[in-house]
Formats: sequence, C-alpha cells, structure tokens
Amino acid sequence: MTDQLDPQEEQALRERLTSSVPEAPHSANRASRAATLGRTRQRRAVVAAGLAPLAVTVAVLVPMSLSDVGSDSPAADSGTTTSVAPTDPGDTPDSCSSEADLSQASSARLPFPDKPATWLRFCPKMALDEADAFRNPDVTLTEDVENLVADWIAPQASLNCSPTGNVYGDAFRLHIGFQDGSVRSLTGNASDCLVARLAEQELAVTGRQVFLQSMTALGQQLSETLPAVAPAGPLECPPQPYEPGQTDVNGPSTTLDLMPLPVSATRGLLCRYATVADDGGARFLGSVELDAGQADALRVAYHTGSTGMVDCARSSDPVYSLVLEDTTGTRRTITADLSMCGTIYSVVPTRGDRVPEVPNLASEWFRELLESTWADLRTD
Amino acid sequence: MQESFDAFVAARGSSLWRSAWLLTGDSGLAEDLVQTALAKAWPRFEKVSKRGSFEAYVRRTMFTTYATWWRRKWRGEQPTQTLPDRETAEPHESQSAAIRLDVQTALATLSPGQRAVVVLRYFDDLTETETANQLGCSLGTVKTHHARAIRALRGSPLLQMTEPEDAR
Repeated sequence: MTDQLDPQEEQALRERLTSSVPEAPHSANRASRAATLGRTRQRRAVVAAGLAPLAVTVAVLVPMSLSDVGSDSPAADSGTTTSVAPTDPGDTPDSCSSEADLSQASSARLPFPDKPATWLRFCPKMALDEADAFRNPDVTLTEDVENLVADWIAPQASLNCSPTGNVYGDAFRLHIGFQDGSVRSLTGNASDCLVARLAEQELAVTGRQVFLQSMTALGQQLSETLPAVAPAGPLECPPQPYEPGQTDVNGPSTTLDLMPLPVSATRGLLCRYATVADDGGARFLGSVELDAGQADALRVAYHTGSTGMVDCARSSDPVYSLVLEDTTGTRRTITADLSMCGTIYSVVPTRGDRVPEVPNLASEWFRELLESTWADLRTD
Repeated sequence: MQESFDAFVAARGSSLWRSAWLLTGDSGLAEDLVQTALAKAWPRFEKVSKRGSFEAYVRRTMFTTYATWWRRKWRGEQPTQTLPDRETAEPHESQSAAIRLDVQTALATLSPGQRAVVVLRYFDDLTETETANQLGCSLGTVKTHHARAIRALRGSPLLQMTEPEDAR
C-alpha cells in the first residue's frame, strides 16, 4: 500500500478540503480581543519583573547552572550570538549526559541569545549519583518551543521557594537550540526554586514549571511517534491497592527507555482507600474519573518522587491508586500510601540494562496533587 | 500599531479561521485557536512585520498551539456518522454537509501532526519544505507525518474523485 498520492487522489483531497470548510463567521472584535489577551500576557511579565530583587535572593540559594554547549558554533566560543542559519534539531549535541556536556555545564554563565528558540531537548534524571543518569529522549521538541522558552525568559511572579534537597527523580537537564545556531544547557530540579538567574537579563522560572511543561510537551510528542491503540475498556480500581500490577497493559510505549511513564496520559482513574489496621489491607472508599489533563498532571508529578527508606509511623491518611492509560494503550496502576510516608507501589517492566529506577516515595507535589484532585472531583 | 494589527486581522482573519476549522473540525474551537494564536503573536507584531511575514508567524503559532493543546482541551471531539435532520435542507446543502462530515471524520483519525501536515500541504498549498518551516520541524518529520497520514486516509472518501451527477 503506497503512502504517496497519485494526481487524481491529490486533486480529490484538495477539492474535498476546500469545499468542506464553512464560511468564516464575521467577527468584528477579533483583533481587539486578541490585543487585549496579548496585553494581559505582557502585563503579567511586567508585574513579575517588579519582584526581581526577591528573585535574586532566592536564586543564590539554588545551585543551578546555565551554559552554552554549542562548542562547534562561533557564537558559543565568544558567549555572544551571531546571525547564522537556523539550526536543525539534528544538529543537537549527541546526549544530555555526555562527559563534554557535563563539564561545560559548570562554565561561565551566558545570556540567552535574542533569537527565537527552535528546539528543546528535555532529559529527565532517573537515577541518583550516576554519570549517565540523564536519560536522553529520541525526540527533540519542536512544537511551540519558541513560545514556551519566551515565557520562561519572562519573569514569573510566584517565587515561593522550597528546595527539594537531595532528590533523584525530579532533576532534569535541558538543551535549548536557538535560531542563530547557538545551544544553551540548563540544569535544575522540579522545586519551587528558580532554575537560573542571569545578571544581563530577566530569567526567572521555577524548576517545577520547567519540569511540568517540558514533561508534558515531551509526552505529547512521544505519543505522536507511536501507534495509537484504541482503549481496551473501562479503567478499574485494583481490588487490592498494594498489588497494583494486576490490571496493567503493555502497549508500544513500554519499549521506550526513558522513564517509567514517558507518554502523555489520555485518561485516568483515581481510587481512594482507607487502611485497615488489623490485617494491613485497605478498604475501597470510592473513585473519580480523570480527564487527559488531570491524568497527565498526576503522571508528571509521580516522576518527581524519590527513593529512600520508609521511616515513619502509620497515620490515618488515605491510600490512593492512580490508574493511567496513554495513547498506545499502556495502562499502569501506581499506588501511593499516604498513611506510610507516601510509599509508592508500582510495577514497571524491565527494558534491558537501562531500566529506569522507579520512585518509591511520593514527592510533596505528587501527594498534594493527589489530595487536591480527589477533593476537586469527589461527588459525595 | 493597533491600526495595522486590526487591518491585518480584518484581511487575513477569515483565512486563518478556515485553516483552524480544518484542524479542529469545530467553529467555536477554530475561533478559540485563532484568538489564541493572534494573542500570542500580538506583542511581536511590529518586530516580525519589519523582518518578514507576520501571517506566516501567526500561522506557525496557530499550528504549534494546536498541536500543544490538542490533548489538553479537545479530547471531546467525536465526529458522528449521523447528521441531525434538517427539514429545510436543499439537496446541494445535504451534499455539502456530507462532504463536510467525510472530511471531519477522516481528519479525526489523524494525529495532530499528521493533520497539520495535510492541511498545510493540501489546503494551504505549501511545499514540504514550507510546511516544515511553518511547523518548525525537520523535513523528515513532515515526510513521516505525510506518509502516515496518507496511509491512514486510504479508503476514505477524501481520496476518491467525486462521481459525476448523472452517474449517481
């Protein structure tokens, strides 16, 4: 079966597309509404700029770095940008975790070039204290990168910093390619703290925002590279939350060697249980369905969990099982026992030597999002 | 600046909306998409207009916004095989509605990237290279999306020539 059109088919397609589109409605205030929205976006940035002194104070507490890794580019050597041909994503540095990239990450800070960003590579860190811990995705983000990075460069108003300390699952490295050919590297973690602060320009974005937006965009782009599979049926809560793998399904996304749940979730089910003191089990309390946005936000937050020893007394907090499904039909259940330090139970299939470590303690972000999602959607 | 922007929107707004309708398959969502793209592009109107085509910039913003938002906002899109009855519909209106439904149904089977490539190539009449520039991706990505889209559209009425009236 050919994937090219013959002339007749092409003509038919053009005619069908053209004749199907209805007349555009008359919209007298389309321009003024767009301008108003545009001004609002700008005003938000200006207001946040007024908080810049606070940003400086916060930023020095966070050891982050920003460097230029485009060593082959003339712009990289001088620290300034020149007008060269736009960079194709294929010209990106080979890997986020190569030695060269790591060594340059601590070099002098350089400003972002005054050019649109054209591509972005998001490398999550999925192991602690390993040189190659940054996982290198096969896809480079290109969709809406210009606007995404432009928003990051505009300062943000919320700077309530809570450093996450020695975390493992929520660190990331970004490579950002600009239209002039230069490439910047940026390392941070998914805390409320700033990713970077430069003297020459306003760059004030929290690591959590970068992590959320990059993970979301990466998940979406990955989903477009894999075959879509029709949903297998309704999502169901596990009868026993401490054995979460029973209803898991392995779709094509399980072959990705990147992180436990790399592809965007398209739907989900959040199940709540109470612990039963006498037999160590859990009693089902209820469930709420999640739309794609809610499910994917929880998927991203799950990845910010850490590894560690469980060392706390059991509380009366609930147990949540989160059932997620992506476009490829992969279905995973993750249980977070908030009554026991946020211990996570999940089953992630083995993929050769580079198995991503799986968080076993929920982050504060994940815990809060589980609780607030349940509170927002519960109907009782 | 505002006058020039108003003039641009007045002149090109309908064209943007038509492309947006093919992407979304819905009049309201099309307007939402156009508004968002214009709002994102508005602060850069003067700068971009001086160095090139502002329309190309808005279109690129619109297509990338569409790809980004698709999963977050528009999962509810469900083309139907049956149209609501319209007692006053003339025969030619029914035919237009049928074509529209065919197009909506077929395009709904494509991923956002595939759909964008089809619209840019066969509605906006761009070359593969121009499509890649518009979407901010590589030529190879466009070719891949195109090939997968065509495979997915095989068998749909979109690729079949309309039969002459007297043959019906």
